[in-house]
Amino acid sequence: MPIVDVHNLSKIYEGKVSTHALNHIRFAVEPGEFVGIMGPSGSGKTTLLNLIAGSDEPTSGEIVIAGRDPNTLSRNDKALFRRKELGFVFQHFNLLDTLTVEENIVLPLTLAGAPVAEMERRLHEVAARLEITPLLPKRTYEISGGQMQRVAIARALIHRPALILADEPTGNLDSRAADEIMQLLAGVNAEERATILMVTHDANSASFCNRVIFIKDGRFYNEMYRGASRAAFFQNIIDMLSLMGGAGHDVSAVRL
Amino acid sequence: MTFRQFAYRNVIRNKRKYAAYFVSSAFSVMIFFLCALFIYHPAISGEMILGTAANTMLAAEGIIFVFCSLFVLVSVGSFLQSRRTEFGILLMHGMTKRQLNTMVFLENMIIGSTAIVTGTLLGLLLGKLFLMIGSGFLGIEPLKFYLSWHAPVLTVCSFALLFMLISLSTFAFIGNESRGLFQGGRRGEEEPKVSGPLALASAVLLLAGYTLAATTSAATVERMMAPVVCITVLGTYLFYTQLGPYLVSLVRKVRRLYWRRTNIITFSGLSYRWKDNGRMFFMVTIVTAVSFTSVGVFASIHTLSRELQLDYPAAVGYVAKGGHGSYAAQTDLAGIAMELDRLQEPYATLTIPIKVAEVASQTGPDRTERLPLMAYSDYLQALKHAGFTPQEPPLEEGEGLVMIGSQRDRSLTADRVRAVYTLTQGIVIEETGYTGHVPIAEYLLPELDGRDGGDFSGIVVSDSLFAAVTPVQSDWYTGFYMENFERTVGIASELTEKGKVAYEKDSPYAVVVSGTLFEIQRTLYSTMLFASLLVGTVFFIAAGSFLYFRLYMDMDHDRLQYSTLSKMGLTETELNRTVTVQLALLFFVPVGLAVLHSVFAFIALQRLFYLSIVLETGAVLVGYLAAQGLYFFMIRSRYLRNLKKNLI
Repeated sequence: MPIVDVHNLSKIYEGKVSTHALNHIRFAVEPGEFVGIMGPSGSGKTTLLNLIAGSDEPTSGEIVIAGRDPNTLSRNDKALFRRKELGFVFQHFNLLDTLTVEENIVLPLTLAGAPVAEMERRLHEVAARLEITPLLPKRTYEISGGQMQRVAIARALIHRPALILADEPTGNLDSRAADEIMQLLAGVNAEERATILMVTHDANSASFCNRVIFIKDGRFYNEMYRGASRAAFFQNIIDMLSLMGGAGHDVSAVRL
Repeated sequence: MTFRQFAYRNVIRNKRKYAAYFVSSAFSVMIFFLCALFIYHPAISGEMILGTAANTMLAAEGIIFVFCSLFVLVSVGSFLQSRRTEFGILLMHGMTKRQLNTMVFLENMIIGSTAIVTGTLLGLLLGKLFLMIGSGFLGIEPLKFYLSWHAPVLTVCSFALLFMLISLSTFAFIGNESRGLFQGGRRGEEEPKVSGPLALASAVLLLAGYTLAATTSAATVERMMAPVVCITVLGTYLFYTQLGPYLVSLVRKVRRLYWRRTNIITFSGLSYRWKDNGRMFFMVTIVTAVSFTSVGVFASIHTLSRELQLDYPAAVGYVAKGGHGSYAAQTDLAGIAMELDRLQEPYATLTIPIKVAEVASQTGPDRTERLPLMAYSDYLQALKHAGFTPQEPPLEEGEGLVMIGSQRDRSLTADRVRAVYTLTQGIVIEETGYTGHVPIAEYLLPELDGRDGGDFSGIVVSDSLFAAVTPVQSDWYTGFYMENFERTVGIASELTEKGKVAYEKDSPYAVVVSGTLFEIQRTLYSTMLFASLLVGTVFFIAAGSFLYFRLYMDMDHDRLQYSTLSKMGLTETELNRTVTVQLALLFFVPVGLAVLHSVFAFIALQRLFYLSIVLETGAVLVGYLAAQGLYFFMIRSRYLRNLKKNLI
């Protein structure tokens, strides 16, 4: 059974000129998959992510995550659902600057009311996995962007959610840090069998995924599976992006 | 876009930021204007008794003005602080320092002049209502609305001057701030530097201040006032900058408590807030404590009116001083009697001889030279006429009771050192106690020399001793006793204008008219209460404006934080609870500490009052807390609405 099942999803933004942000999108993500979603600006990537995260309600269609449709839940239950089933990695990290690194990481467990011993055990586990143990007592302004994103990933992993949603996780990083983060995500995906759904418009980042779904103008455009070679997959993605057209500046320069 | 338009838009598009500052300034202007309206009202300024009321109001004007200067200075300073990046961008794009100063000056003047105009217009609108309330407070006929040209001119001129001077002085705050721009917008949120010893010092200082205030006695309260206030103010400052963060950092170490659901957000937010807000909290606390205490004091002073009847046993008291040759005291007395007859109230007259003896030496630190003496039987007579029951047993030879001049003296008797007097003629009189009641009102007899104040005014001695004394001067006291002493307002107006001529004055007589004194005192105290309520309200609103500005500054940060949290699954109930706890701390910690400060101030002040002031001060505190609670709920709902605007 798929973890995420998106079925005929449509979203229309009402207004003076109503926009069809998403138009009958359908796809599924199996447990342990690492799926990238690509498309030019305005293609509906962020809308899709917001709908899956339950931050926005679809006009029609349905999303089933871990057997439940968050949109049928009450506001309160939706929050509890997100707390339990979803982990988030943001482009701007969104760490809370009032907390230390370790406090940021355990936050999801704290909100859920886990016992302190359990929190500490999982904290050390995940910190060791992401190699950020020395950073734990620091404050967020003392660490670099790449380190912040590692902390954010730790925060998204610690409560073992059914699905991790990543929104341009490398958008704010230099290419070296970006590669490290992507390798980390791919590793977490391979070793911990964590299911990741990532929105990006960076071809290099997307090449770490098992599969990339392309959308354009709110419609499903194509999808590609990765073969043995990441380099070949990267080249395919670049080709696909140029085939899709879109704004040229959206496609980042080749950097291998 | 001209330069002036630029300045104008800077203000108008940031109206939310300036809202509370503007409201507070306009409110102060309005109160200032209303007070001026009151002072220059012909029915107030022309009259003798109400003239003292006008003086009180004038003092209130002064306080409001000085406070406003500080308030505007601090507010403008923090506005400028919050715009450093903006100024940096402008300077980097080639704005000269001079242009920047002009811009800031224009902006300040736009807000200032709008506040002046709004405040004055509101004052005009509410003038009649205010005069009605004011006359209600003073217990006089409702005042007619009268606009003297003085009031608006005084208001507009003084506040225009204030805003202008402060805008000019803010140029010093604006530095060359274009350096920090290239480092990006990241704020270094350093943890506050907290030292254990200083945190301890804060606790010690506060405790010391409280203990001193609680243990002070009536005699020492005046001397202790300044050091206790200094200790407490310093302790408060350290409390916010050291002890508070220190306590929070202790809590953060206890994971069982700190890592518990939303506590983690609440406490971390608290220490973050504390660092930025310590100084603001400090100001709010001090300002609130001052206004609590002053309103409380003036509400309590009212209780003194209740004591008045005890302090003035005779409705009219008259002392004819000996040694003034042929002064016709009888004519004065006859005049008073005639005026009393006209009131058609029954009254009784009593005349008592007072002997003033010369003192050769006395024990103790004081040096009394002339000692007024009264016979024991005369003392009993005086009490009987006043309707008091005497409890003192007859006196032995050589014993003397010190006469208290007012009920206030009772609180001083405990600390006063009793003296033994040796008269020049060789007689020795020892103070063995104090009279239970006031036999002769204050002002009518010379006071004993005394370091600790008080109006102790002479000695009651046994009849035989009294007879044996050869006086250097013989005075005659005459009391007119009457049930409704309030009716004696304006009696003996040829002898005294303000209801009293004290013994120390260089005149052949001393006189006290309790009705007139009562009227003057009541008017004065009512005006003081009224004025302190007005000033207290100005303080209160200014403190609220500081809080508002602080919240406004943190809004963007908080919104980002809560939107992240809500994505991570913070429910709405949890969000509401966290925000409510944080805001409640922000609102009630300073006020709570201020209440604690003023409670100890009241404990110290209670020593000065013979009657209990718990009721009055309690009412003031409850009133303030209610107002603060109302303000809290208003701000909380606004804040939550703003916070949730672009949340999921």
